[in-house]
Amino acid sequence: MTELLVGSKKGLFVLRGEPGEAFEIAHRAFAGEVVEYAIRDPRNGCYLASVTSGFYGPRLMLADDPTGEWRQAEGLAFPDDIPDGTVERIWVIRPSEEPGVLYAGTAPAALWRSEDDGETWELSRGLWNVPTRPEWNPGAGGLCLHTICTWPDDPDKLAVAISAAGVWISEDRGATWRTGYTGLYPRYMPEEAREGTHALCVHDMQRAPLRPDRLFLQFHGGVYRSDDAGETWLDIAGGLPADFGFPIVVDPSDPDSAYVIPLTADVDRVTTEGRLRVYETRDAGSSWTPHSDGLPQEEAYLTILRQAFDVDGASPLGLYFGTTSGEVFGSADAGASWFTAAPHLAPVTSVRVSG
Amino acid sequence: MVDGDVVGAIGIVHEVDERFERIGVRLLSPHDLSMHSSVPYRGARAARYGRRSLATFRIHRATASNPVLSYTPGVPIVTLRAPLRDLAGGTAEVQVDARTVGEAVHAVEDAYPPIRGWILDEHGSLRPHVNVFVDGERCRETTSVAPDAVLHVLSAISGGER
Repeated sequence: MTELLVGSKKGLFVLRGEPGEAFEIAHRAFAGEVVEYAIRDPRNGCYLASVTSGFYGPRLMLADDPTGEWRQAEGLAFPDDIPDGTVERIWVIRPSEEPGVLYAGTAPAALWRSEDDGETWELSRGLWNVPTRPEWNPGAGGLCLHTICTWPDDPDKLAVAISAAGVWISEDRGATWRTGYTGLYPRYMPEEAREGTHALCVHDMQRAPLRPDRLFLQFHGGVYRSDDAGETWLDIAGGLPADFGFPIVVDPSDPDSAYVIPLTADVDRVTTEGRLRVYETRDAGSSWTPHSDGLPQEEAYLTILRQAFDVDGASPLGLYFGTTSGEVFGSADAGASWFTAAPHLAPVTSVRVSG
Repeated sequence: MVDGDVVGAIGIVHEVDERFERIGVRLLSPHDLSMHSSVPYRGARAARYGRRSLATFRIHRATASNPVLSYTPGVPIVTLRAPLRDLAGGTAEVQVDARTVGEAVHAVEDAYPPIRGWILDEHGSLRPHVNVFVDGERCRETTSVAPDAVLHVLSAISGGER
């Protein structure tokens, strides 16, 4: 049995089922509220969800059972000495390599740290105090920290991605930061404004577990790979029908693998040519193979958001993604064929495999 | 009004203090209710409206664990709707000692900590899609409230998700 946590514009859907067949909606939590993101912390089995009321603001919720009672975490609020900061949205929650430690990213772009399994949180001030922060500009989703990478056996090392302020790297648990901009090409900027700009709109970034210094990145026009832990980037979009898109995922057992779902362009954020295709590389981006078996191939103009694609780590690899039109698709054979796990949910904001 | 008086068909007067300023009503059943009880005005209200005038209090809901509701004349009332009411343990009306809307909301937060952060943000400003009405007027957190004011906390039609 596979369990999916599907965040949506209208609550959290807990889906359960056997790969290859339609999944059952085991539970719907937070009805009417936006669930931006939800995960299960594999270290202790605790579920964490980012919930935003359109009226009453954001909050981070925890539960031992996603179908049961949820409780509210504390501390995800800017302190009094930062009067210009108000948490608008909690984008991502990431277990650290340290026991009991988690990180969260928010809009406005800030990093938060918990040392008690997510019950209480504190602003990580190092990134907030970066001197260039006042120059950062928001992307379409707001100025947000949406991706956090950690390193096995090195809890001091962190990399975060910000829309639209590029990649930032820390070697001291977030106390100090440097940029990882080299090679990222913002063609949406005038040529004379590209040099030294912070306006680098990263959409997603994932690290290869078996090759810790390799990262894959979906950019706002461009797909990139880094082999030096985010210091420099190489464009690997050749062979894709479009280099725009939001999520990128990797097969944890193959550091040369990555999957993307190309969208036409930033001015037309739907699947290319009216066909829903997932593209896979097994040679670190030298070539890409489309997968479409079981996915809509006629008049299919769909959008997949940055956190709405995940893998299960099994062998063969399971992949799951959701669309803003409410479908969730899955593959139990590394993308070779696909099935509809759920056909009619609310607009999907995130998909995470939780069991 | 004395101990034992039946209030409408739903409650019995449980407690009346000697100055007639605090009235407790023991509800006969813990359902959502809408009831009016009446007491004479005292103090400034009596001076303004006359001692024989009547004040009106509404009781919307009581819980099974707390069937007694008490109201103190001359203290502002904050009314809550779902989901705030749920965060307040089902309490629909809270009396608070406050001179401004912000103080009133903070007092509600102190009484019901799960509400903290829902109405006001971390810096004490009303969230953009929450409205507070005082006696029919939409107000900011700095608006003054009179001792007999009724504050309604409502979600704004500008909020929500499409």
